[in-house]
Amino acid sequence: MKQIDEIIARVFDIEQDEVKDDLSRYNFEEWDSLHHLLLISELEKDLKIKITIDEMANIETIKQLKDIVITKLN
Amino acid sequence: MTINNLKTIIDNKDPNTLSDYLNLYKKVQKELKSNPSDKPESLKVALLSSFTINGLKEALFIKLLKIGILSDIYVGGYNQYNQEILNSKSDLYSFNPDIIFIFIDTKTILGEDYFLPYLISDNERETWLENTKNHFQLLVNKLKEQTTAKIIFHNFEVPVYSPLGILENKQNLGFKEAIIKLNLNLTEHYRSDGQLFIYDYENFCSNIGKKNLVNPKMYYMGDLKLDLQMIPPLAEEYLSYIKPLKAMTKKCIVLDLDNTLWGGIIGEDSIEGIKLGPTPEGRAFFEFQKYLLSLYNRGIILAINSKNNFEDAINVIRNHPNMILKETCFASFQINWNDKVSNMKSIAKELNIGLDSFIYFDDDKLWREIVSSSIPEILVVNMPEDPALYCQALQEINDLNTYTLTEEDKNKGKQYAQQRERQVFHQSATDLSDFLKGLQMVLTIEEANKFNIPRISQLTLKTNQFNMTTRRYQEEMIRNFAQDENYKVYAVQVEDKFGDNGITGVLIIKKDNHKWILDTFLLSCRIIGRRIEETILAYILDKAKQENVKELLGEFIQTKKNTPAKDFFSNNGFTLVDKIDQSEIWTYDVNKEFQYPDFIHIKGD
Repeated sequence: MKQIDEIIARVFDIEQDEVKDDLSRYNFEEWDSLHHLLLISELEKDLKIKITIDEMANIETIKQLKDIVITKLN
Repeated sequence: MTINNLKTIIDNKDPNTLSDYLNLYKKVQKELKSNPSDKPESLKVALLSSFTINGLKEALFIKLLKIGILSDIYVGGYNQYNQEILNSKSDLYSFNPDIIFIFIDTKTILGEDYFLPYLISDNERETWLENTKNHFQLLVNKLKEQTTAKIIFHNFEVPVYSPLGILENKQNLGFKEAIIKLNLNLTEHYRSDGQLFIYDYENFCSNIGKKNLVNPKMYYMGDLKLDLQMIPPLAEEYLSYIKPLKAMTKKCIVLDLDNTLWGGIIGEDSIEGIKLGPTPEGRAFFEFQKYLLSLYNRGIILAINSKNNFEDAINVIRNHPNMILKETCFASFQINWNDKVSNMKSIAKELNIGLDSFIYFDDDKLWREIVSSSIPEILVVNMPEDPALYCQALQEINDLNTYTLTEEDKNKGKQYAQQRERQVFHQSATDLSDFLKGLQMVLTIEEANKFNIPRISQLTLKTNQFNMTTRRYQEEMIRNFAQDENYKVYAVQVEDKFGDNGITGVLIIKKDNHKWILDTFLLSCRIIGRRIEETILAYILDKAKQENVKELLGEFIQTKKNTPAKDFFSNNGFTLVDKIDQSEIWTYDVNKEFQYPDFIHIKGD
């Protein structure tokens, strides 16, 4: 979990305690299309997981993102 | 704010992912905004591409700052490269770059044919190849008319897939073959071009692995034709072209011995016990040496810095049957119990090259840290723990590149090693004239020709110490002098019993009726002090006499560095006729006798 927060914080250049579940592509300005690509890219690279194109298209909040990543890690 | 202050922001950071680079870039830019740099950017880079390469600018900026270059990077508009190149009033040209990278991807040049490659016939594909080639040549020609910047042009990724499968190469011109041919053609066309370099992007793709090059979902969702995480490695490749542009090329590799050139410790394991040779354990070191030998053969100087008993170590170098690097390959041996920092300084002094020209290989992490913190100019290679990865670490170094490589450059490794033998000989000689006689020197003096012109120009550009006028001439200028009947251009090659020093002297004479003027007279610092200067002068006086010239005028323009040349004219019977500021004119009556040093043999026409 901590590692996921670390990666998210790095991608958006924010502090780890600013990574909140309810951050979404609609209420968080930094989360533009480039950062969406970057976010998936760095999660895949660091955690050695693969996220599908459908999952990637549907992720809108940090909560959804974490749920998907955690399922893949287990 | 100085560049060193800026560097401290990133010095302890080891950026890994693209995000790291983007964040560091933001940080540095923020700092620059509140506290502008005290000097302007020292390098202007233009990036032109057929698609948006997110993060390339940022990664390159940070990588350049890490090596001490503050850059200004211009990114051309999305797929606007044609317009920017063809319009002489474009932003690209007003930016006035020092170097331009052009990255056009295979999918863009093929358009729909990329996906439906056999919709067009073989003949149409031939036409496509011809047209594409011509189009690029046209673009490049236009670019070269408008700018003197170095142009780095990506070649094209060869697709891995052909719908024809195993029949791909049974066509008159296959789909993949068309791209391969295009690449070959670009290479062929610009082979001898000094301004344009083809960057082998296809090789970069193969090296990374084409499966890892593109992340398919990122391509569909964001049109990313190159995986985001491959951007920093691409920026690293670009440094290979930027370092020689900023004269940051390294000249000498300094090596440790134990666990670097061979496995084990000679002081403990003895010559029979160390690992070196075609055995499972010795092979990593054996091949590491072979790779070093290939660098030596292209002109890289090698030296040793090792804590050892000299006798133990030199015994291995001389007598181990699998030692690839022989004693004659090394320009300097610092094998003793001194600390490695002072050894490093001794090597620099002995070879008379700057500490910033060195690369250091040592398996000992502690010594690496001490050397790197005491002498930050030295590139200390972060050597892998596993000797199996030594060769790879060596191959990844992109600090040995130059834009041209003359015959003299290729022999540099050998020449510096011979210089070491000369010094040993010098120490054994009883006095200077004894030493000089023993060298058995032969000078070959020849007029400029197409083979020696690049080297002549290079010497005028690089020589600082024994250089009377320090006039810098590009190849084009030397070519003009050589064709002009009012000028004579000579190249001087020096050989002695230890080997060939190559072309190490240049003379350019301007003829003015009964007067000859020494426009340029220089010798490489390696050969000064051997009375070669006087021999050349005697030769020129002979030539002048034959052509009924009465007077030889010598110019001397003082610089910070040419003190070794300062007294040459006064020591050789010239008379001072004029002196303005740092510039002196000296004269010599050609009919006055001049004695050749009798121990130098001349070959000339």
